[in-house]
Amino acid sequence: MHEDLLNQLLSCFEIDFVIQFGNLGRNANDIDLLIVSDSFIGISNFKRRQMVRNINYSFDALCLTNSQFTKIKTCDSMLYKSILTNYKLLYGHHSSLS
Amino acid sequence: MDITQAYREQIFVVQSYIINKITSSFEKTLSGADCRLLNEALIALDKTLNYGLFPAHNIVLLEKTYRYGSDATYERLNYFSNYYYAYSEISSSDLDLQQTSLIKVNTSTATMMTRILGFNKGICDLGGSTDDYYVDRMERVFWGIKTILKREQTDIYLPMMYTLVNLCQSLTEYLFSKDNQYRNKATRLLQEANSKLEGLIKVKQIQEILSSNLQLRLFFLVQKSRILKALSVDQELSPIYISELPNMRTEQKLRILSTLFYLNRDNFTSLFELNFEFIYMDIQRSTVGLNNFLFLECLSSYFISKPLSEEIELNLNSLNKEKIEVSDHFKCIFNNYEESHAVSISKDEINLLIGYNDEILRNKVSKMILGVDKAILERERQKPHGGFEISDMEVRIKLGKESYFLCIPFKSGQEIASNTVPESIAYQIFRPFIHFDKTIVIFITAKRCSQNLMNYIKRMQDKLKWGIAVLENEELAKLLKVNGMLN
Repeated sequence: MHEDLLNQLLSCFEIDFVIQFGNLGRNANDIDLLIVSDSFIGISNFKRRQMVRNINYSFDALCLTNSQFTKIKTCDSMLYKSILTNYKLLYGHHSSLS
Repeated sequence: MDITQAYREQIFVVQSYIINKITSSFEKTLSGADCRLLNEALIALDKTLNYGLFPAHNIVLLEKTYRYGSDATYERLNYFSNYYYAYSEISSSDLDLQQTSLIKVNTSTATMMTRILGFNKGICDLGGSTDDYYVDRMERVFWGIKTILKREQTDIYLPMMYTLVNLCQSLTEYLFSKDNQYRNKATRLLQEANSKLEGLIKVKQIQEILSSNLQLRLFFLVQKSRILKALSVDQELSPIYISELPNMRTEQKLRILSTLFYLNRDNFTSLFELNFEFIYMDIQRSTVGLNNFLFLECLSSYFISKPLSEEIELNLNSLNKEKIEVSDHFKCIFNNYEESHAVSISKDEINLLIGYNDEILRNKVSKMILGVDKAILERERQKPHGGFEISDMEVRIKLGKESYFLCIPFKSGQEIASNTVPESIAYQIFRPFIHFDKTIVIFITAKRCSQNLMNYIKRMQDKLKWGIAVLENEELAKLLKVNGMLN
């Protein structure tokens, strides 16, 4: 399932990395993804989510640009902490997270 | 100063303020104070959009500005951590920490409020995991309020009251919206908040605060009426009339006026007219900030009460840097575009094109687009076309070295009753510019555009540098024919 979802995402955006976070044991229709891509630059949050939702999978996506991700990383946000607690890297490199 | 002129001026001032704040937020994260002010500016902008008697391109620029502001403040919500920590911070014995905690809660509440207002206008969406925390973590703020009351900390009853009424305001705004994801939870939270408010107004110190603080009293009354409406409770509120504004700071006067609008419109209108010059002069003397936002809100309320007979054309920041001539790239976007010029078209073929419905036209055009994965085109062609769709098709496309979002609004002949496409549909053509910074729009229409619509589009290409092209009628028929699609 993840592979198909990823292929669809990668066909639409130049993605740096994708992480599944939160409760990884949840069923496939209830997954949280963090998608980091500079393809999102200049696109509203609303539109980013709408575009990834057009893909035929049910998931909740947080779509950030690299600079937005760096911001949440450097300010030690609750979101970043919650991601680090439990995550699975679906695409990209682990180094992006540290 | 003429009120209409002041309105124009303040809209520009507030738009510029938001853009400057957002630009500086690229360098460093917005502070809590920045967020508070941005939210106030967004609420004023929302009210301005509610008035709405502006040309389509002005509305698009205001909505785009709203989107910038709302996305920036939303980024700072951080999973409603302010709600999460509220109970532990308020439970501490440090008065400063308690007050700071209430301020932070108010900022998060205002951010959610602007999010909901943006949702109502199709600029923002609701339902992400951050939004889940808005309803899941609010209970912790209620625990904090309970603690303050239990300890009888009268020193912070006033900010506590504001926090509670603000929460109610955002919950009612949500319940009045069309979203249903949190309806049950929000109703339960509002019932709980309402029962807390009922209890609070029986407390002697709160009664004293309400009787001495006109600003809070009016705010409370408006919100109480909204709560009862949201909870479907019938209750008549006593009418409010204010003969003159008390001698107080401009900010307080503006707060009273902006609330009075909801309680007694005639009273608001006459008091605003009476105080307009003084307030305007005071605002001119100060640096741009909260008073400008509250003033803009009042100006919008004033024009909602007394609308002008014609649209007001605004002078706004264009928000676009570079211009692209879209039609110069048609040969890279549409298969056989150059060859289509040599094709001849009969009257019957034009009638055939005009007879296509939206779905047929979309299907045929999607098969002629170059440089986009077929599966993506197919998905775009089939996607549901609800009110939240920005345009019929949106695909990423490369023109030279640059990537753009190509947005295609369609108008089939069946959709347009008149002989030509009227100017009134301009908003649908301009709308993609709200959500995409780097976008090109190709308007595809079976019937010809009216001269007014064409002139308007050309004016926007020049004035705002918007990359828009039109593929209409005969030119469209030729392109379909050369690709074997006109059948």
